[in-house]
Formats: sequence, structure tokens, C-alpha cells
Amino acid sequence: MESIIRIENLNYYPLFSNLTLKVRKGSFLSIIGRNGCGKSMLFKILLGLIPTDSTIQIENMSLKENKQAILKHIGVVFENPNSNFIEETPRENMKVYMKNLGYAESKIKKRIDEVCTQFEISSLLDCTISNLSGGEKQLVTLALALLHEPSILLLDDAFSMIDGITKEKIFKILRKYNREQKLTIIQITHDMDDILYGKEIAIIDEQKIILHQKKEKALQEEIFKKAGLELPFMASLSSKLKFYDLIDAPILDMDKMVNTLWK
Amino acid sequence: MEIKFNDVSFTYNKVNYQKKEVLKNINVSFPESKITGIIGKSGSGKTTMVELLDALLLPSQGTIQIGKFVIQKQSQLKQLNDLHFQVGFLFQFPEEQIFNTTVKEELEMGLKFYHYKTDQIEKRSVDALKMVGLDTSYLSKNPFCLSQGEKRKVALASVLILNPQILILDEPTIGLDAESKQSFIRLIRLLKNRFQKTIIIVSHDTDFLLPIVDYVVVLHDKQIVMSGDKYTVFKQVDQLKKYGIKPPKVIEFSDRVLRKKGIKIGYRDEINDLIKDIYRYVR
Amino acid sequence: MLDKISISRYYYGNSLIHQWNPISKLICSLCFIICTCLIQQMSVIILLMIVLLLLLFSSNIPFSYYGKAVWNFRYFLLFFFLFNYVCQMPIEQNILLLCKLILIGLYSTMILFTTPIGEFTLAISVLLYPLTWIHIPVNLISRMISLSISFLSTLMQQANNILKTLAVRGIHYDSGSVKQKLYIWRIILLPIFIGAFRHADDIAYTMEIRCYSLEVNNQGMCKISLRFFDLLQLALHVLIIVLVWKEGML
Repeated sequence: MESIIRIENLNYYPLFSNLTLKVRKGSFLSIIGRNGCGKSMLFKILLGLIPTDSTIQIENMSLKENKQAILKHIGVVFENPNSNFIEETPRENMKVYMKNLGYAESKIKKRIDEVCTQFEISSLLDCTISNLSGGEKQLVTLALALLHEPSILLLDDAFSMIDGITKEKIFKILRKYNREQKLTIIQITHDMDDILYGKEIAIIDEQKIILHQKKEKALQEEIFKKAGLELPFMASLSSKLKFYDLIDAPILDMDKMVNTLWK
Repeated sequence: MEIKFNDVSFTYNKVNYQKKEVLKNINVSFPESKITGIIGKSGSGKTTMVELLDALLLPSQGTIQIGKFVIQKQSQLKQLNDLHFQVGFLFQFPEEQIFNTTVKEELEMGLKFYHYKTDQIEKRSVDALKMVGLDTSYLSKNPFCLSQGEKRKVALASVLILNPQILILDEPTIGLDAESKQSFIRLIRLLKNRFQKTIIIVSHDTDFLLPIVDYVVVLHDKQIVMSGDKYTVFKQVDQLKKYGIKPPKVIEFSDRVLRKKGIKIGYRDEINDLIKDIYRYVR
Repeated sequence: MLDKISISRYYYGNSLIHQWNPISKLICSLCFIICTCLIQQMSVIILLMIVLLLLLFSSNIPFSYYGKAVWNFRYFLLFFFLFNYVCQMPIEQNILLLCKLILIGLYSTMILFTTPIGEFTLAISVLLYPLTWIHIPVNLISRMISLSISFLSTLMQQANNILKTLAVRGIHYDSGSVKQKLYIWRIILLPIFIGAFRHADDIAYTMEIRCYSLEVNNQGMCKISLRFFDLLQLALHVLIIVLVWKEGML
């Protein structure tokens, strides 16, 4: 299958040296790595915010030449919840964004209602941004990023201030988008349990991507440790239980694990 | 030193229309020389509660007692000046509040303001750095050039230099990677065990809190809905989920085993202890 | 501390003033300001005050907020008053001037409270459009104005957090001597500047991502409909100017 995103031999001192990344359409990729290894910078390069000489192709278009066209297919949530807003209220931000992309008034209203009902933020639409809590800002930004039905969604530590239960709901919605509309999702996260919601994992270490595989194969303790990371709970549990010969293969689902241990 | 909330309520009188009630009739006491975790859904009032403890906000109703200090609506901030020498506060994302270009100046700011003697300041700077696990070579480094974990430790040292007996940490591990998190856990344990500090941590990361706290307080919808020793609170997995809190996975696993197989394997802090229990009960 | 300052706040509402066409609003406020400057007599001030109070009332925002806004500028007003006093301006003229300042202040506050930044930018860019004939980048200017206004509130929040951080390190602004207050002003400059530049970078990135462009394609953005109310207001304001001018001529 064709790659929807292709970065080849990216060189960016001092963070990346000969970095290559190919992402297939319909992936749900988690990019992880220690603090400061350049994950956010990778996104900025991918979005054309930081110019580089390397070949970057998104949706079969070269980034250098078609930046404007490419940006219309991408939704982004940046790390700092405060930096995601230009206008005064969430509704204004949404309206202006859609207008910039050329949507008609009626379609704008329809999409805003649809997305906000899905994420349950309709009551926040007309509040001043500065009055919202960190978690609420992040929810609104996510809704904003999905308004224009992008084909790629980039999440940079997008849920750091959202509590665990709400996060579960959000990931359920995102997985639905990923399955049904083949939305390619790439998330950067520090929460190791968030990576289990995805399908693939990529690790950045020593200026390169040292691992990029389906999550079941990627959860190897030695590699994670070397990159300064720890395994998600279920992966760590599986790895240790396997060591004691209590299970044969890694199990990532809690119920399945319980049933396997106590048949 | 007693730390107590007596029927405290707080309403934001923001200059924008609606008054926002954030806390209602809070009554709680924090045990001395122990680590207490405050958990709750985002927006449940956790940060407000701890800001009240350090007189960064004044309650709309009720009193807060910290040792000999009493904070109430009519309190004069001037009288509460010395409170900050008793209660230290580490904000969220302290990396965004760096004032100086050397770690030495950053640490000394507070004491210099109160005209402490230079040799005293130097000694306390070194002690504060030692408390957070950084050596004296950091004194001449530029805080802007440090890693995120190191920046946070420097921020913590700038608070510890005033030698507060009570320490409040607001989401100390947000945005940190695994190595830095582990380092922080060791640091907090050290502060409690060696220096007998009373520590209050606000976090929504229950996995981080589980191995270090003794006592847990749960905030939901402006009130305290649960409080008690950590296992008592954390093992009520369904209740916690109802309050929007994800219980620690180690505990959730034991709970799942209990529910599905009726076997009580006990509640543990860490995955290694859990493994030992599983091994015992499976064989 | 800085929590209480309200410089650029938009209060959501559905009053007549909120729905007032922003272009009409800006033109009327210009009229009002010019008019206020032309006044020479206290009686006319009172007339204008009544008109203003009617407008404030129909904005559905509690008077206390307007009061607070004026209260925040009390030092400026005091300074003005004293300056004129020292320059030996007759006391009646001084008070007249003060009343004019308050009138203008309240009117502009009403506009700020009831106009979202988007509408504001649009109105300014439309009104300044003739300047594009002489190659002045009007869209750029209006975008800069609206961004600066939103920046201000972000910076205020950051400054507030910085002051809190200082407080927990033992450095209190409210209870310090003048010398200490000056010291604090000096040391907070570094984090505020850094925060401001970081925020500016982030906002620039966000604007690029959201395909903000500087071309005047904002015409469709707001429903710019000229309603009866808007025309009425325009007429009313022009009438006031004419009246005041005539009064002045008599």
C-alpha cells in the first residue's frame, strides 16, 4: 500500500540525522521517545513550518511545492493548549478556520454541530478561551482539528490535561474515525498506555527512528529501556509473566490476561 | 503542624459575568510528615484547593489552618507573608517561570530579597540542590539550557531553599518522560523519609501516585467525596471511574481478578510485587 | 493581583449592542468621540451621558463591570487632573475634560465588551479600505491590531502566574516597598518576554496551519447586514454631532 506520508533522509542538526519514516494510509501511529529527542520538531517539519532540504511527500504531493494544498488535508493539535487559538471563542475559531478553507456558511454550521455533539463540548462553544480549563481547551482543539474532515490527524501530546475516563471516550471516537474513514492518525505522547490505543509504534532515539512496527511486535523491553522509555503496564506485565513461564505470548487486554492465567 | 480546611468554600469572582463556584464546604485534614494525593477530574477544583493552602487565593467562606497561620476571607496578605516559608509550592510547568540566567541566581532570589547573609545563602543553595539530587556544578549552569526534568528540579530547589515544612506539588510529572518520572518519585520519597516534610501532590496520574502516597483525597463536583488511606480509596475502582478518575492499573488488575475469578490476590504498589502475588495464586 | 485587570474582555451576550453591525459601531464611536471633544458646556455632557447610559443599559452587561473598567484608569485620570491643575487650567474646564475622558472611556469599553475580535478586525479593515488605494497594507494592520488585543490577555495571565511563582519564593508584590516593587518589575521582564516570544511563535505556526491568509477575503466572514438598528444608530450619532456643533456655534 502506498505511503500517505514519506520522509526520506531527513537531516536537521542536532536532532535528526538520516531519518526515514513512511506511514501508510489508515495507520494509527504513536511516536515516542525521551524528552528533547525532537518529536514535536518532526511534526513542525512535516507541516512545512520549519524548512528543510529533505524529500517529504504527503499524499503523493511534494511538501515544498504544495504546502497550502497539503495543509487542507491535515488536522493538528499542538502541545500547548493556549497556542491553538487565534480568535476569542471556540465557535469563532471554528468559523474562521472553515471560512479560510472555503466552506459555505451552512456546511460550517452543520459540521460544528456534528463534531461538538460527538465530543460533548457544545456548552463550551461560546465561552472565552481564557476561561476554559486546560483539559477543555484540549478537547476544543481536537474538535477544531477534525472539523474539515482531514485525511491526516497529528496530535502532539494532545491529551496531557484530560482525565483518564474522558481520554478513553476520545480514543474510542478516534479509533472509529481511523477504522471507518481511514483517518491516518499520528500521536506523540508521553503516556505509555495511550500508545496501546494505536496500531503501530515508532521510537525516536539517537537522531533516527530505531523502531517502526505494529504494536504487538514493537513492545520489546530492551529497546524501550535503551530509548529511555518504559513499557505500558500490560506489556510490562506480559513480559514479566512470560519470563516466569506463566503465559506464552504477550497479552495486552486485561480481561484476556485474567482469563488466561486462571483458566 | 496541623493543616486543616474548616468548611471552606471558594467562588471565582471573575470579571466576566458568571461567578464560578469551585469549592463547596470542604472539610479535610492533612496528616503531618506524610504524602497526600489529591485526585479528581480536570476542573474539579484541585489546583484551587492547593492554591488556597498557600494563600495564593483567599477563601470566600471558612478558614484554613496551617500551624499558627489562619487563612480566611478577611486575611491581610501582609500578615501571611511568612506563610511561604512554611508552605512551598511547585506550579505546573515551572519551566515557564525562569527569571535568571544562572541556577545560582535563580535559587538565591528569595533569600536575597530578605537580605540574608551571603554565606548563609550559599550554604542553603548547596543544600537545596542536594535535596533535589543535583550537584554543585549546576550552580553555574544556565537554567534555560537544562533538560525538562532538570529545569523542574531547579524550580523545586528554588522553593526548597526557603526550607518549608510543607510542600505542595501541582501536577509534578505532567509532560515528563519515564526516566524523569522515576527520578521525581525517588526525590519525593527522599523528601518525606529523610527530611520529614509533609507533601501534598495534585495529580491525575494515579499510577504515579500509588507507590508514593500514604493518604488520598478525591475531589468531585466541588466537594470531597472520598478520603482515606491509599488502598481504601484506590480499591473502589467503580466509584473512582464514576468520578472520572482512572484507578492505578496495578490495583485495577487485582480488582479484575477478584471480580472475575473471586480470588483475592491483594493490592500492591508496584508491578513486581503484583507478579509475586500472581505467581503465588496461579501455581 | 493582576487577576482583577480587565483590559480586553469580550462578554458574550445577545443584546442589541452585541448584534449591532461592527462597521456602524465603529463609525458611531468615532462620531461620539469627535462630538465629545467638541463640547464646551457641562449641560451637553449630561445629555451625552444620558445617551451613553441608555446604550450601556441596552448592552445587558452589569454597570459594575463598566464601573470597574473606569476605576482601573483612576490613576491616569488623577494624573491628568493634577497635571492640568498645575498648569493652572480653570477648575471647571479641568472637570469638563475629566468628564469627557470618562465618557470616551465608557463608550470604548462598551465597544470592547460587546465586539468579538473577529468583527473588530473586519470593521477596521473595511473602514480603512480606501487606504489600500495608496498601497497601505490595511489587512496586515487590522490583523496586527486584533492579534495584539488577544495577546494582551494571554500576557496578563502569564504575568499573573509569574507573580504567583515569585510569591511562593517569598517575593511579594503587594506587600513590598517601592524599591522592592521596582525590583520585581525588573525581574519579571525576562520570563514575560520569553513567554511572549514563545507565544508569538506558536500563534504564527497555528495561523499557518489554519490557512490564515492576509488577502481581503474576509468579506464573507461575518454576516454584514445593515439592519434598521444600525441605520438608526448612525442617524442618531450624526444628529448628536450636528446638535452639538450648532450648540457650539450659538
